[in-house]
Parts: sequence; C-alpha cells; structure tokens
Amino acid sequence: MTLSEEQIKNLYAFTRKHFVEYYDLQTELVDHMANDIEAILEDDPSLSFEQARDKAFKKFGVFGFMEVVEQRAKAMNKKYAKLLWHYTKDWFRLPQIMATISMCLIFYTIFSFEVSSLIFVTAFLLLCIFLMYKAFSMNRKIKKKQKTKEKLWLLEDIIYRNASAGGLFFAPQVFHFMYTVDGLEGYKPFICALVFTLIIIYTYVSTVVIPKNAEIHLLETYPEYSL
Amino acid sequence: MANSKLYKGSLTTIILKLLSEHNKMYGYEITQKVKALTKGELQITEGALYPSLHKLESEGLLDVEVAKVDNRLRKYYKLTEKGTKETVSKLEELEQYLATLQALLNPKLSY
Repeated sequence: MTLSEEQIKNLYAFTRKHFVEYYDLQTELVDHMANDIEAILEDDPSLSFEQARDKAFKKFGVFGFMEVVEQRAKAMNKKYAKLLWHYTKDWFRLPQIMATISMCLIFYTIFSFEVSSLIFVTAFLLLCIFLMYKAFSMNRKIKKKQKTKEKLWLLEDIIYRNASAGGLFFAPQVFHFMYTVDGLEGYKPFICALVFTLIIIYTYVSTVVIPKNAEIHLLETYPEYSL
Repeated sequence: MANSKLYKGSLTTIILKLLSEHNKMYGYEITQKVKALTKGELQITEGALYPSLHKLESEGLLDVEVAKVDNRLRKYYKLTEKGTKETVSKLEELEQYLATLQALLNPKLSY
C-alpha cells in the first residue's frame, strides 16, 4: 500500500514539528518514514496511519531527529569550509598569485609611510563599511527569499550568513588597531600588509565569489533544488 | 541491541561496501538490506545511518541523486570515484582488524 499525497504532506508537517527546518532533510526523512510506515501497515493493517507513524518515529530514539539534524548541520558547515578553501586556494596559484603578491606589496609600501597607522586604520574602516553595505544588501536578499518561498536550504543559509557576517566580525577590530598601532615600524608594515591582503581575499571570496556561484553548488548539493 | 557498540566503528565500511555492490541506494533500503543479509542479527539505527551518510557525502565519497517515486521524493546515494577507492582501503582495514581479533581470540586457529 502506498501512502497518499495527503499523508506525505502530514509527514512533512510532522518533521517540521520535530525541528527539522530544512527541506532536503525533511524530504529524506519523509521518504524514510513513509517506507517504514508502509511496511508497518502491511504487517498490521489494523493500525491507523498515525499509530504506524509514531511507531516509525520511535525507531529514531529518544532524541528523535535531533541527532540527524545536528550532524547534517555539521556536514554542511564542512562543505562550506571546503568551498571557501577551494576558492581561496585559487589566489595562490598562477596567474592570480601575481595579483596577490602585488596587492601585498602595494599595501606594504603604503603602510611603510610615516602616517602608516592612520592609513591602515582608514583602509580597514573602509573595508568594514563595504562589508556592512554587503551585509545590508544580503540581509535584504535573504528576507525577500524567505518571504517568497517556504523551502529552506541550509547551505544557502550558511552562504548568505557568512557573506553578511564578515563586517560584524572585522569591524570591532578597528578599535583594537587604533589603540595598539602606534606608527608601523620594523616588520609591522609587512605583517599588516599580509593580514590585510588575506582579509581582502577572504572578503572577496565569501561575499562575491561564493554567492555568485551559489546556484551551482546548491544544485550539486541538493538535486531537488530545481524540482 | 546488544551488539550495537561493536558495529559502530564499522558502519561507514558497511555502507560503502553495500554501495559498491549496488549502483545506488536510499537510506531505508540500506537498513533493510543489512537486516536481510545478517538475518536480523544486525540492525542499523536510523539515528546512526543518516549522520554517517551525510558525513561520507560531505567528504566527497558519495554523490546524491533525487528521483520522484510514488508521490514523494527519494534521495539516492552512490559512490564517487574517490569513494570507490576508499571502499577498497576501508575493507582491507576491516579485514586486517578481523584477523587481529581472530588471533587474539583463537590463537591456535589463526596460526
């Protein structure tokens, strides 16, 4: 006996009720539960759909779907970290590495001036303003998406969340630099240039490159994304 | 399940091995297959199966595919090239471990 469309909908609602927020995991668990419910009903046709459903759910243990949800989140964060690494690596390959090195050298030259600390803090501030602006536009995009559709995808969430979190992460450091950098001397301009270059690459990858390619990675991760 | 502690470490190997023998499988199918092959002796729990599948997927060992079956979507897993290679080494590892255990439990039989 095959479950009806109505019963499948009931199962989706059931997973949502048990804290499975994302559509891909809901779909997988719904199919699993449906298979099990069908088998249970075949064995004992006297059971109602709800009784069979609760029996199938019990097999997930006392914590229900929690363990599966948590591990799924872990796996997706890992996937995002891999994406980040994959695109960042490109900046250390030919020919992009030339751009990376020149960027670093330009910053080094600028930061070696007498007013270096001022320039450094200003440059950092500008970067943070750019990130804040990005965060603002990303948040608007997320809200718009949430309004128009009900299916949520974890990887998509992680991508947009990380793209908009950069500003929040880097901005407080401005004050830190303002007090500690008292004119850049010795090896300091070089360290600052290096750090600044890395931050720029990270910012570029997380706010521009990954969101731009999000669709490709989402389709690869979630074949049901386009369905 | 009394032996659940014993199979925990080899769950990923069991999954990889099953997938190497079948083109593609879905979660429920894997639990049933293991149950049938071991005549009910070994039962993979849902709470352990999916985390393992998702971990293998994020490591690039498994690929996913979705198809509409009856009136619902079904997610299939299959081995990637990297996964196929990993299966061979994981199986070797497990077999070696079994031999070691054998040597510990039945010293006379294994030599």
